[in-house]
Amino acid sequence: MRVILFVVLSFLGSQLYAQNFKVDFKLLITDAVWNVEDNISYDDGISYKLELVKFYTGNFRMYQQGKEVWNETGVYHLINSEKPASYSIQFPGTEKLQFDSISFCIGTDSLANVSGARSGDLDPLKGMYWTWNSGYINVKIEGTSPACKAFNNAFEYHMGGYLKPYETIQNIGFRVSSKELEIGVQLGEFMGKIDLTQQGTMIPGEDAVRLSKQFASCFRIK
Amino acid sequence: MKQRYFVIISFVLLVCLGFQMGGNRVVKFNVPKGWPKPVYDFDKHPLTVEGIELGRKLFYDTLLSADNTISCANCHTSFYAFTHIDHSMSHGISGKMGTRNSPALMNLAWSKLLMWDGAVNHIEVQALAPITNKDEMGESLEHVLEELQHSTIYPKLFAKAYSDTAITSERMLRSMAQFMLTLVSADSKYDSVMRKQSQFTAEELAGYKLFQKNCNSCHTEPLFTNNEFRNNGLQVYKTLNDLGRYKVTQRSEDSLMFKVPTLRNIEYSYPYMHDGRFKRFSQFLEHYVSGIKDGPTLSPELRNKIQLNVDERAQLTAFLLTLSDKSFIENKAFAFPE
Repeated sequence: MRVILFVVLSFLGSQLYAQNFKVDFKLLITDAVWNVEDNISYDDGISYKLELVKFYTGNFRMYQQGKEVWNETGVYHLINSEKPASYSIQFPGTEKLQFDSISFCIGTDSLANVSGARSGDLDPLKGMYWTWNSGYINVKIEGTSPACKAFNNAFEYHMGGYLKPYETIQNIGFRVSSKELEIGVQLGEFMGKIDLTQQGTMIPGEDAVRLSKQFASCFRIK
Repeated sequence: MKQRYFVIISFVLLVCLGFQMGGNRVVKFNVPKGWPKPVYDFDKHPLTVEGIELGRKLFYDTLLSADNTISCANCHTSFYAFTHIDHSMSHGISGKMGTRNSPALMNLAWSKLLMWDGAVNHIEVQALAPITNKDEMGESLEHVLEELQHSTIYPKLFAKAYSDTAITSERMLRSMAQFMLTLVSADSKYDSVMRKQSQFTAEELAGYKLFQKNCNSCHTEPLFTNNEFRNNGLQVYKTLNDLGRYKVTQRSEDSLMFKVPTLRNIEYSYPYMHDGRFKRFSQFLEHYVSGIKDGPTLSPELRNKIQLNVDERAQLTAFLLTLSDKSFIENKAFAFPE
């Protein structure tokens, strides 16, 4: 009887501590959480507001001591500032998983870009698809600045492209010690390298590659 | 006892009826004998009678345009091998002028890249380009789907083709692709000769030999295109400044490269080239003989001059006319749905 009780309690106990892996993206300007209404200004008086931040993450993989133990290959999650619930990604089926590092991509791989009509987060209805040059917009950052010379002082950075040599997908990895992972996206750092007088980038090419690398470098864990 | 049999038989009949109504009738895509393997994955997404019918209805529906005047068929008309006859460049809603000639649509299952510059990389996303182009149909995907959802006929047609009435972008695009994939042209006189069911005339045969010598490397049989991109030496018009595939890839080696079009049904699909600059065979033949402009990306095959005297041009013309497939342009299954 005691053995049975022990087994049952151990089982229940293990279920309490077992949880699914969860990633929370935090969109930040330095240490503060970014909100759409924020007016961000520099010491020299130049300021800007970000109105839209959307980007794809995908191909999440978990590793234990260098060996892959789980993957979500071909699955993409759209992080969308218009839908803050999208900042959290749950990975069902990972309760019992033990891992010490993860990797994922920012953007979409070439297979996703050549596979025709897709649904879910890859649905062209999500506003992240170039109809005139088949392929996904991996990252969208839009806003306004009094310094911006474009129409309505609006800048638009649409980074995408999968054809060589201008692939914009970025792969990053982190060592992890918790099943709840907070990843900070330092938008302020990205914008710090942007020339606010410019209109932006709307096509694949060299600029899109450079900006994609710049964006990926802003992903940090605490 | 009889009553029980009646119940059983009725049940079986009802189940069969259920399959007929909700089920999809798969259509096998026939690859003509000797043709290469299609690029489209028919195993992953088989054609169905209902999917094709829905796609055809959408292809011919002006609802897909902002002012309800332009359907796909406006620029891709079945009797002209699905191109826009008599138009060097097509016009869209409100009479807006486009910048390219409407390509003839056929044998798309074998094309990896679509459009003159290969901007579209899969037949399922092809429809998105003209639908959202402001000079063509000028619509948004959201609005088109809304209109379909509010229409009296489309929910039923989507339910027939798919398991329920949900009208999604994936379903709309896939069914349009299904219809376009059925546009196969493989029944011209040339095909009949290849199947040893008829013979070329002496003139056509001479033309065929000239074709094999001068044209086949790019306009490769049996598709009459190698589905690749080439610079065929057309002079750039400064007003259009169309650099072709360079716009898509941003690579200098793709400057002035355009997709090699099929020569099938060339009799019906004038005018010719990406900007429709040539109205007659004689004009493009003259181009290949004396009009080629040299440049760093010129197709290597065209660096040596093509020589065609008057008789040879007549022979080549006779051969090109054997690529006309009347059964294709007259096929009721491709025409406006009744």
